[in-house]
Amino acid sequence: MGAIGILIVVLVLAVLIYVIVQYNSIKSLQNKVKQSRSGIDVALTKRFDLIPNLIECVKGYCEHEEKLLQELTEARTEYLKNKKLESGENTEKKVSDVLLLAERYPNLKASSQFMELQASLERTENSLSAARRLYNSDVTLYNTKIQVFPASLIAGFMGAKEEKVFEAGEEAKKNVKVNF
Amino acid sequence: MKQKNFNEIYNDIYSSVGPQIEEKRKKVFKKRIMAFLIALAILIFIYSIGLTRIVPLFIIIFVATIAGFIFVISKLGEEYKKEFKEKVISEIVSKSNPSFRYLYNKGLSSSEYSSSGFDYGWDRFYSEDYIEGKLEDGSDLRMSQVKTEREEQTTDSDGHTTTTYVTTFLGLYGIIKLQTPTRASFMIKENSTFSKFNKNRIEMESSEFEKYYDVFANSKDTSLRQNAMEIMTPEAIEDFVKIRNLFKKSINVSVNGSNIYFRIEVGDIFEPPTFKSSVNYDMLYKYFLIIDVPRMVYETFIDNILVMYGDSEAKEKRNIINNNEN
Repeated sequence: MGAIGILIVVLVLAVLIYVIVQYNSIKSLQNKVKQSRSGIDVALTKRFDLIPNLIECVKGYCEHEEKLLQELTEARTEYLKNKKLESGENTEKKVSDVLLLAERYPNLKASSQFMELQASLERTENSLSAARRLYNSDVTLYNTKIQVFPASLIAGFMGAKEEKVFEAGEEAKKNVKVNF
Repeated sequence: MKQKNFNEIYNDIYSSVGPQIEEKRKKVFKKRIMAFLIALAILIFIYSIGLTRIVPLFIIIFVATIAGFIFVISKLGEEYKKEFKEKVISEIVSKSNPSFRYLYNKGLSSSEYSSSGFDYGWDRFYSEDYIEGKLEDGSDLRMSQVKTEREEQTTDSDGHTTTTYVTTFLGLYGIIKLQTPTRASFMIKENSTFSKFNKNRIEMESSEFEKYYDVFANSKDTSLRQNAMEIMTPEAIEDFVKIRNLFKKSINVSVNGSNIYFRIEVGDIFEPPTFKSSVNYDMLYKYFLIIDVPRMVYETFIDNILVMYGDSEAKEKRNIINNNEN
């Protein structure tokens, strides 16, 4: 085998190694996106687990707010039925509205159970915000990876598709700030 | 607020010890100039009497003169340095935070430095200008100036090996032991090209932050990465950019359980000047900001840590205190 033959073999090996490395890298990023997406799911589940307690607590103090509490219950049911991360977002404003009731009902505001729920919800909201940011960070890295040449060729062969970053919906963009 | 506080401290120092320390500095300055002129005179003398022709003798006298000059210069400055640190720096430290204690001839140990995980590639370690105290919620702080050097050996064509030492870090290093324990484990370091290949890297939203810093979780575990995101909120990211703009250097921070390690390459700190005023405002303000670094780091993280680990009441108290101060 002459020098040219050896060169061809080396080149083929180099290309093969590159393809394997890129394949594994894309797969690894895909898994990261899945894991961080499930992180959002975990945070949303924690938030929804708190909602029944919140509704029970508020009911005792706010007899005339059935409509709002009913909407919140329905939003929770909808999320639990289809587990769509986007539908989880619809409840954010409703939860904020329920918490804002404390401003109109001083007895509710003073309730220790309500204060504990507020603190738990704040922790959960922070977790959820962090999970979304992490998801967006992983999606951005993954999308960049599969768009950049020549890794885009390998991504094309793998059928790797771009993922959507998480964007705040219209309701969330109205920016209801709850002051705890 | 910082500038106003420092102005009061500066005025106190200037009026109480300023004239005395300036007097000392001028004496040291004059003696050093004298020593330099004497050394120069000796060298001119040995040149003028033709001793340069006797090379070995010339070299011995030359080296002895230079060594003697360096020895005298350093000895002359020792008392001035001690007084500057005891009277000026100590005053800035205690007025910045009454719980802080400054010991200029003590330092942190090399094992305490290594525990941060910032860097292992050093062969020599020096530390001095130690400060210890308590932060707002009783968290312990220990920090000092640290210098690390790496050994480099070069061999010339004749086979002679020369060993030199290159400074790898010179600046402030410290450890904050939090009262509120965390499960967080991540590191923030200055941006580097090779960091893009690190699988534990987490990309932040701010392009300005990404220009100066990289964030790494200490494992691929999603919950740890999420913990890092919970602490590195957009506000925290902004604070890091502000620190960078203030010192023109990126601060390195490592959060691991209850400990926050930090270091920033600000050079030799708390050294008394010879050629400019010992109560120079800009220089003392820079030292004041350096002493304030742990508080900046603490303030950046503590609210997020308190919310994460369930102490919202403590966070509420801090908000009230901060609002009253403003």
